[in-house]
Amino acid sequence: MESENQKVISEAEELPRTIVRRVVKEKLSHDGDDMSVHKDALLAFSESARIFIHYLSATANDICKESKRQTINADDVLTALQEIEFSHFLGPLKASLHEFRQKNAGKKAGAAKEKEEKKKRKLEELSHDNGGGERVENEDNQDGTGHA
Amino acid sequence: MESNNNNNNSNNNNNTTQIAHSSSYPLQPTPPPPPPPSSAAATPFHHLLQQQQQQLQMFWSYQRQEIEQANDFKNHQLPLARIKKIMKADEDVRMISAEAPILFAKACELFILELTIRSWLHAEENKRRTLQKNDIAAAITRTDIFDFLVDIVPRDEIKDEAAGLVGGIVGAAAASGVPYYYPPMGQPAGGPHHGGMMIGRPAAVDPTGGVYVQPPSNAWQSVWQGHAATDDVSYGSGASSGHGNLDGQS
Repeated sequence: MESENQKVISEAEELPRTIVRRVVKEKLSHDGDDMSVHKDALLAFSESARIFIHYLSATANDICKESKRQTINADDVLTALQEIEFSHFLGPLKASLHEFRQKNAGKKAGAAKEKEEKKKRKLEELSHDNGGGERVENEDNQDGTGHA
Repeated sequence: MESNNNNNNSNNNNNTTQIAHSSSYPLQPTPPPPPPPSSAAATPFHHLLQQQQQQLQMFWSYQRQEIEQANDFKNHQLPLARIKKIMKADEDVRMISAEAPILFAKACELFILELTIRSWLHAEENKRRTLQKNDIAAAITRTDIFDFLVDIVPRDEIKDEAAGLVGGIVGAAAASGVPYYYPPMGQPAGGPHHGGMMIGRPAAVDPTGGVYVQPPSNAWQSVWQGHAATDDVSYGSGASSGHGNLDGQS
């Protein structure tokens, strides 16, 4: 590797090569057994993916700005995909997004629920107390939920 | 003392009943049919096209199923922080919502998968068991929507296909509107390009080139040119050396 080139190239973040390799190899093992990948080809995959990210973000950024907003959101990205003619990605992506949102909603709801329950229990404990110390038993029995 | 996780129920209950398909992968590695020695130009290649379209369609519906079945979102293949960094290398890009990198990670993965399939098809056509850089270059050449990559993986080694085909493809594609169209083997590479050597030419930033579909976003152009100015990996600064942009970088 030429060190001069390295100096310049290292300014550009790369996608982790092992992950790119894994994605490619797993796909190939489906499509055609024992297909190997030349090292230069792996680089080309990585580089192409990186440029794809740039291409997609520039487009999404444009769309975002057109709507007079500052923050690129999910819809901007989905619209951008259509604009660059990658609409066939939309199905899987929307499914991913939906799942991510569900999971987050679950977390939030769960965290909120847990907060509520802890509050309730505290209140119960306090009402049980007759001015003395806290009753250890109660704490044991009631503190059953996992932590976020 | 119980240790159940009450708050995280979406992981385990999520969408497991949706798809009843078996886990076998629907995309069969069928080799494309060999072109008949003499026939109408379009027929064998359109057949190949159709086959590819079908395979790709099956691929995408499989992808959707896979995602709907996946229940652990933590297994992101591509690291979100890295993706964010790449996005932010574009100075124009400022704020990114939390959901955006997730979409980018997935889109990126899908992109790599599609590029892999298309490259693999080329390797198969040439009866090779090793996927090479020129397979990727061929996939980029053949696929309209991959035009933005034309300078990233240039075709410096045109071994497998007649050099004359290459120039003819792009010219014909623009004219006929068909995504990829292979003129008959014997046809010389006419059109606006010199015989077969147009690949590597920065059609992306050449507005007079005529055959390149301009990317819809102007912002993209400035990123492109900005990179050309600052980056050694020349994305299209006009000088077509014909040498691989990726040589010597690993």
